[in-house]
Amino acid sequence: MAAGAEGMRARLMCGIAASALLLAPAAVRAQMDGMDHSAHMHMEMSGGWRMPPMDMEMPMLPGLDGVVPVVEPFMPGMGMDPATLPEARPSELVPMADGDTLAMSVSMVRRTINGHEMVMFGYDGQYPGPLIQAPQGSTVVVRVVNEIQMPTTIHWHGIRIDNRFDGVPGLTQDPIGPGESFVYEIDVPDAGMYWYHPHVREDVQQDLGLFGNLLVTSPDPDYYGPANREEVFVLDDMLMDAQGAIPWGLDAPTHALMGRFGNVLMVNGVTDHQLEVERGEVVRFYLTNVANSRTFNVTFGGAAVKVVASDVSRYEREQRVESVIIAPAERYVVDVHFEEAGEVVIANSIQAVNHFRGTFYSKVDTLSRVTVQERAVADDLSAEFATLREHDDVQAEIDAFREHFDREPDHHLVTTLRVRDLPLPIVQSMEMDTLYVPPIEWNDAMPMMNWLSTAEQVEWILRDTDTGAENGDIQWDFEVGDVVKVRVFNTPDSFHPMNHPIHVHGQRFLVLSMDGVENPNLVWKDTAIVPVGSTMDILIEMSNPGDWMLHCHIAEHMHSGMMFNFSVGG
Amino acid sequence: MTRLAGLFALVLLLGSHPGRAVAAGAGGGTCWNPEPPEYYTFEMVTTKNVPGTARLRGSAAVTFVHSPFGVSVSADGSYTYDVHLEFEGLPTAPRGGAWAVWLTKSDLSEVSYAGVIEPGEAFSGRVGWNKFLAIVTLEDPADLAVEGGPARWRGPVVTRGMSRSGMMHTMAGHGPLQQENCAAWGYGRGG
Repeated sequence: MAAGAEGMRARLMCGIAASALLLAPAAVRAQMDGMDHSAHMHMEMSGGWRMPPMDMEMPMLPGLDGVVPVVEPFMPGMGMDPATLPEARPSELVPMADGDTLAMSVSMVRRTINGHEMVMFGYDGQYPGPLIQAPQGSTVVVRVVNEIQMPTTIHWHGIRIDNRFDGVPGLTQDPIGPGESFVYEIDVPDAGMYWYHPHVREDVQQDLGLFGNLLVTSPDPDYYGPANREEVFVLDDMLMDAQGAIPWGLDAPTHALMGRFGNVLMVNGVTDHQLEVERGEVVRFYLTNVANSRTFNVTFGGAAVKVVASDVSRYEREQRVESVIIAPAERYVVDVHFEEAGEVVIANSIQAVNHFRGTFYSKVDTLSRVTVQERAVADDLSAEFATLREHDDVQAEIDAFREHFDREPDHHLVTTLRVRDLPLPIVQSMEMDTLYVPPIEWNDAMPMMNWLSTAEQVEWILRDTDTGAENGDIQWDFEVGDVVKVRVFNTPDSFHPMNHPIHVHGQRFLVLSMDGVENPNLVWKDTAIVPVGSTMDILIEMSNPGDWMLHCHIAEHMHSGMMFNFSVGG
Repeated sequence: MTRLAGLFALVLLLGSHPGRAVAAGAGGGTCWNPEPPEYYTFEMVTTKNVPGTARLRGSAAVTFVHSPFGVSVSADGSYTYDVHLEFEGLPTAPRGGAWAVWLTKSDLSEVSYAGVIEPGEAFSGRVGWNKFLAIVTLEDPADLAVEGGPARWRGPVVTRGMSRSGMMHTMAGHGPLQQENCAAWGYGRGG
């Protein structure tokens, strides 16, 4: 029986109040005394809050001076000396064979980001967590010990896993309390790049470093085609000011409207990521977006790029692209050919929005610098790279589902939100501002208003328009073997429409169409973004029994209610 | 009429800046999505400046160009859209002329000739700008037969509309079209 929305939210939040013990009021006050108000001298924050950095072009709304979120601030490790914690290590590869066991801690670590030494979290003391590698079809065991003072779980994202080990508190397991452990048995039926992260206060725990990849290798050595090397890129951001990370909300997330955008961008946990390759190398990049809210548009400095695979499979056909758009929780596998010697900047290249001026403007953030040496690579793969492979096996597998493509949807979802008790200037401003909303929120254009919106004031909604049920009250029951077509409409007619990366647990789906335009090149997905105003048709193969979640993968949206459970019998 | 004069004055001020090849047309009755997002559909408003077009009604539907990522964005982060124009009451162009479709940035700093639209047929083009105008003008076909396409229109504007993103100017005025009455352009009626 699926838990109700309130019950699930309560469970997801459970144990967080205990974490308040980590907050030392004296330390908070000391922090306040020392805060840098250079950007907004008129701001007098209270209760330990610091205002997030703002673009000075954005005027402060009258009436918001001194306003802070309605929840208490939460900064894990506040008052602790980071020097007392072990320094986190970069991610290490952990090859595992069928039946192998990995003991993995969830612990506090010391990390330095953007010049700030911080108390953060780590899986096995690493950032990102260990890169677990397992052969397709195997079962690997991960024994998790929780050494932080918050309950946690691990969700093995995208894997059609045994339901008992899906890591959803209140649905598939009890949260792992401080000092407790849990043993996950992970079946990996599909080759590809997956990732793991907590399903308890993701907005905090994931942001503080709890994420890692799980690479499932195919027995076919030619599964992806040839490349000279492979690189794993975990894309993330962190919201920081001159003192370090901006606190999170204690009892509920802040930034509930747009999600917590960071202003410091990272690859594999570092802000100065670099690579060195030989001229002519074909590099395979495994991209994973672990940011709370940010959708990236990853560019490769003009180098030739082709997209090969995404969440749960390869594409029917490889395809040339100029950039890779990757929403939170998505993964893409792309091959990049570095033909010319010199420096190539891998960047996040977006058209940011200035709502005050009503303009788009170019914003380019460096993610990694690639030095392409003069020396040519010994194994020239130019010809192989130029070939766009067709994957007959992927097409053949999808063929079995084509009879369902054109039929009417089985279920209709619309995304919207309700707000209550937001400060009046925010309400008035938003009502005026949302005459037009871009389909994707690429940046935090309203950092003050976003920061002040908490999950206690904002309820993001998935509504089943066939029944009127919302979020946890939605009841969908299926059987193994069902093929279910779901139409998701992201209505622009709401207080603040925003894109949503929709994630389905335990199953895989095809994005059949966007706005009625048929998708000509399919790939099995577990997460897909629905832009504002758009309608996305997905076809879910119900292949895995159990109770599962469907939710928005913007952490703050999920914690603001944007989720429900469905059951698959059999 | 004052509005039109202002618009042409702006065009003249900007001169014959060659349009960047980001927009391309595919004239004729192309098959396109029957249910584009209503929110991003915008009205094409007649200028009533060409005889026979006073009752012309039209709309521009906007959909994402296909991409493997669902959303279609260029390397600089601009959205890439397919734009589909349909009209009721578009007559045969007078004086042996042709109805030419143009896509421009909303500040007219870049203009792209998209093709010719025939009465009774739909028109599809592609645009790589976040904010844009769709414009139909009456042109001499000889002026359109320029290698690489004409840089600017010469004839009178028959109908025009602005992408929904053009509404995103509410907190700081109207930019270069500040003298314009937004409601008269068809996008002042709220979200």
